[in-house]
Amino acid sequence: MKRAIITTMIALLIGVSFPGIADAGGSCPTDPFGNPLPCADDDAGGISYYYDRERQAFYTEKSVDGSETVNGVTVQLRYVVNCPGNTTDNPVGVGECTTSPCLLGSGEQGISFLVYQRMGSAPWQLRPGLVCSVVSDPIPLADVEAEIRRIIEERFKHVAEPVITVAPAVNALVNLPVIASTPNEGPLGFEITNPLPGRVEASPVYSWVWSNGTTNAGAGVGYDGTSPTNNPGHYPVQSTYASGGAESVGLQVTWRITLTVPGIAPVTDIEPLVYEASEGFAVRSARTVLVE
Amino acid sequence: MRARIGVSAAVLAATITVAACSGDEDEPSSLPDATSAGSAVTPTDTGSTSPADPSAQLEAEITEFFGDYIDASNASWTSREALEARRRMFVDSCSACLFGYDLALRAHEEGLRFKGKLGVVEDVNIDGIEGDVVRFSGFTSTPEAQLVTTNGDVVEHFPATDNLQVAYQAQRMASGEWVIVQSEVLG
Repeated sequence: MKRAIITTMIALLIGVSFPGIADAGGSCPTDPFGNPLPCADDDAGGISYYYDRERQAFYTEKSVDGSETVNGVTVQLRYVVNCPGNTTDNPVGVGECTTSPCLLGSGEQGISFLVYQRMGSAPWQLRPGLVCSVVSDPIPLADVEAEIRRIIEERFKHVAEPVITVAPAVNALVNLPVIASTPNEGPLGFEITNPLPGRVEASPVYSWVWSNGTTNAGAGVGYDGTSPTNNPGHYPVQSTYASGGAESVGLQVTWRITLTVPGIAPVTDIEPLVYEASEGFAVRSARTVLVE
Repeated sequence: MRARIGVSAAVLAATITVAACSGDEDEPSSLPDATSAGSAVTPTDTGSTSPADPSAQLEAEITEFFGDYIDASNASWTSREALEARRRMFVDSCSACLFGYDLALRAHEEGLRFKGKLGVVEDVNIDGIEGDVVRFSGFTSTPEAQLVTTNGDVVEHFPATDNLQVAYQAQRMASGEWVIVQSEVLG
C-alpha cells in the first residue's frame, strides 16, 4: 500500500503512470505467472530509504518503471535516482549522496531522477533533464533519536542510570588510592521499527572526574583483592587524596550510536546519549581511623 | 466468480471509433469469433449485452486472449511448445510476464518440476481503450505451488492467491494478434 501511495504521488507530480512492477524478479515472491506479490518478511515494506545528512532527515525512495503511449506506440520509462553508481539496472542503490536531493517549487525536499526510455528490448536512452519529485514526507533524525532514547531508557535501565562502586566503601585513607568502577554495559544492539526499520549499535565511553581534579577513562575495575598500591595499573579508575574530607567522583557515560538502515550507509551523526552519576565518599587520615 | 462490470460509455465510444476505422490496413476488418478460453471464464458470459455490440466483441476477444495466455503459461511448465506460445503473447516491456516466462524456461533447462495445482482465470474486465491499446483487469487465483528439483529441493515458492487483480495493457499488432505490453498488480 505504501508503495502504491508513493508511486501515485510521483505519477501525479510528473504526469505519467507507473505500473509498479519494478520488483518483479526480486527477492519477493511471485505467482506462477510472474506477477509480484507482497514481501511477507520485508521489514521495510519494499521501501528504500535515503538519508540527507545536511537536513538530518530520512526520505523514502523507490525505483519506478513507467510507460507512455503516444500514437499507439508504447515507450517504456525507467526512473533512476540521480546518484553516482546508479544505473537502469540498479536504479536506487544510493546510500548517501549529494546529487540526488533537489528542491521542489514549493521549497520542499525532493529527489531528482534521471529518466531513461526505450522501446521493446532496445538499449535505454537517457532523456534530457531531470525530474525532481517528492516521494515521501521526511522522517526527521530527531524522531529516530527520540525512539532510540525511549528504548534504551525503558529496556536498558542500568544504562540510563549508571551505578558507581567506590572502594574502599568507607574509610578511604589519605595518600592511599581510592578506586571506582561501573559495570561495563556496552556495546549493545537492538532493532527499531519506528519510525523506520533499522538496527542500533551503541558503544559507551566512560569519563570520570574526581573531586580533586583527577580524570580517568574506562569502566574501571572493581576491587578484586589485588593491591592498588603494588599494582597501580590494575585499577584504571583511581585517585589519591592528599587530605581528608567529603569527596566525590562523577561519571559521565556517553553512548555513541550508529544506525543501520537496510540499503543505506550507516548513519553516524546521531546525537550521543549522555548519562551521568556521582558518588560521595569520605577520606580520612590513617590516624583518625585508628583512633576511632 | 467476480461479478462482471459493464463496459463504460467511454470504452464503448472508443470501441466504436476503432470499429469505424476498421478499413485501416493495420487493423483487421472484423474481430475474430469469440471462442472458449478453456478457463474459468467464457466469453459467452456477457450478461444481456447484444452479441453484435462491438464492446462485447472486444471484451470477448480480450477474455479469450487472456484465457489463452493463462492456459499457455500453465502448460509452459511442461511443454516447450506452450512455452514458445507464451513468449509470443507479451513483449519485453511487460517485466512480470518476462519474469514468469524465464521461470518456466529455467524449469525446462534445469529439469525443474512445477508442483501444485495450476492457476485459473476468475474474471476479465475491460478498463479502457486508447487507440490500439486495451487496458483490462485480469483476475486469477492460484493455489500454493512450488518449483522443485528432481531431488525435491524447492527453488521457487509460489504463495496462493485469491482473485489477484492485475491490470494489463494489451496491444493489437499489425498481424491482428494481441500482445501484453504492461502489467501491474493491483491486489
